[in-house]
Amino acid sequence: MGFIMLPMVLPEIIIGVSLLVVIVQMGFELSLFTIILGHILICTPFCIAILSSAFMNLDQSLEEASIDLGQTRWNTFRLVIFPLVMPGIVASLLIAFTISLDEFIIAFFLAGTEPTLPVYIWGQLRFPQKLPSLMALGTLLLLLSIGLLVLADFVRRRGLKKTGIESSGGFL
Amino acid sequence: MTQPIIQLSGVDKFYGDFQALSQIDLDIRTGEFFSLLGPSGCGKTTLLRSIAGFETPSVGSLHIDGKSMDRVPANKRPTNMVFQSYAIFPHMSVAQNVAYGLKARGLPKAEIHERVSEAIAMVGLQGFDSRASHALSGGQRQRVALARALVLKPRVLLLDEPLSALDKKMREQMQSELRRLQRAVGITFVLVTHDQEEALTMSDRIAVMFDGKIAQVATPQTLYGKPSSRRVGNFIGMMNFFDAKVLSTSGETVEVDVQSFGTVTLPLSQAPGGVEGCQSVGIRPEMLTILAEGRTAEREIEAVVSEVFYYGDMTYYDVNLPQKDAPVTVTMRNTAGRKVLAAGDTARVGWSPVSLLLLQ
Repeated sequence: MGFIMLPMVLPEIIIGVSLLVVIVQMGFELSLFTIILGHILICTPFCIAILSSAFMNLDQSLEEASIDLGQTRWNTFRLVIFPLVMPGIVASLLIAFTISLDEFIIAFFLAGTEPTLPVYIWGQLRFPQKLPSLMALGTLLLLLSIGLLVLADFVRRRGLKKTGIESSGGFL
Repeated sequence: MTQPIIQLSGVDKFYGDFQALSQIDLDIRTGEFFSLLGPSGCGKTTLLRSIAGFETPSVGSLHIDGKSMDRVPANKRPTNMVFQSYAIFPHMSVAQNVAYGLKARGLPKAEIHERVSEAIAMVGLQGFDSRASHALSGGQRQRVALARALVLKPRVLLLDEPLSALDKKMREQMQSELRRLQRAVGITFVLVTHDQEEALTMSDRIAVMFDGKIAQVATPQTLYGKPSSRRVGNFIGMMNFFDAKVLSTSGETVEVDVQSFGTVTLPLSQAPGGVEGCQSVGIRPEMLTILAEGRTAEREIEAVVSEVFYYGDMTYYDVNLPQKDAPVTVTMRNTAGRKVLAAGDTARVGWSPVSLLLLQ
């Protein structure tokens, strides 16, 4: 668990540089695919944190009750476990999306000829005449991020309510 | 004699080095209300979960309804369980919860509907069908859990401390309700509890467990009146113990030298666990009486009251008897005109040899 959480506390610049070295050493071309790999690494701890709290809030006897009532293991997952952890899954997807959308440093190191949006914006900053449209783009990006994070926490809280658990402070 | 519905023989259960169950031999009869009683950690829940199919015994065999349950998973057993936490599916309504097991069996919709409303009515939750289950009180959840299990008409209903989360009033109400339900449906109930009062009032028979072993299986009356060992007597209700030495046995009687009481002759039936190795004599607090002025008893002994606990309907006295260090508890009903003694008063305690039990 601690090992999986490590990327959360490591400075991104270190992750970025070390991934670059490893990927180049292994002989891979830098592309959007390598950025995806880097982003999976930094999003995983966040997703695990949310999902493990969703699964831990689940009463284990619910699973046993379903099997006891004659249901198969697969249907137990489909009818009981999945609906109850669904909000956690949605929230973790949204958080991962937001992190990946905003992330600059790792994307900057690992981008080949295909930049992500933040890397593209940074590149365009050299041209003063493009500044107003970049400002607008930056604002949109910020609003989208905030919107998604709020949505993610809303979904998570609704899930907690559904299982009858009081919110324990919230992720945000 | 009908065939037992559940037969366990030689069941052991190990968790690593820890032995949770050891040499369990138990027959549970068809249609009875059976309780597994014991302090926490005695293995009673492990035993229940083994019957349900959530634990696999390390050694030994389990038969339900004459069929071996080896490698039969929980969802294929003719048992249903009411969990301690009730395990009501929070994202489903009351009716959906109750219908869950019937749907798993793929029954036609009309039949499901009919049996669900029947079961909901049986537990007294009419009108709650579409209520979200997280908006129910503890007692209502309990009823949903019962309906959900009983609607499947199992051969055996397993209840894992179902009343421990309820408050006292609610618990007493559910106790009589459970008893009524059990008589009405005629299904074998197996209840796990650490509450001896609950076990005594509800059960046809009780198995008392300590440290993974069954100490005694008996009816509530036998268990209370003739416990087979000092430990059982101490766990079920209160009991005063005296050091004792067996002097001789002859035919149907046994002569015992008892601390404070002197030499008494007891019928062999007063040694329910056998005479061999007995070193103490027990007597229930209500079998001792504090004699009022002018009253006499079969045997009497002088005592000094050390503590008085007044309970309204009853008074519990701790009295010191000669040649005994620990005080002895005597309970007296507070009938009209009876004087409640104070600490320090002297009293005559009446007793009778037939209420003494010779125990190991």
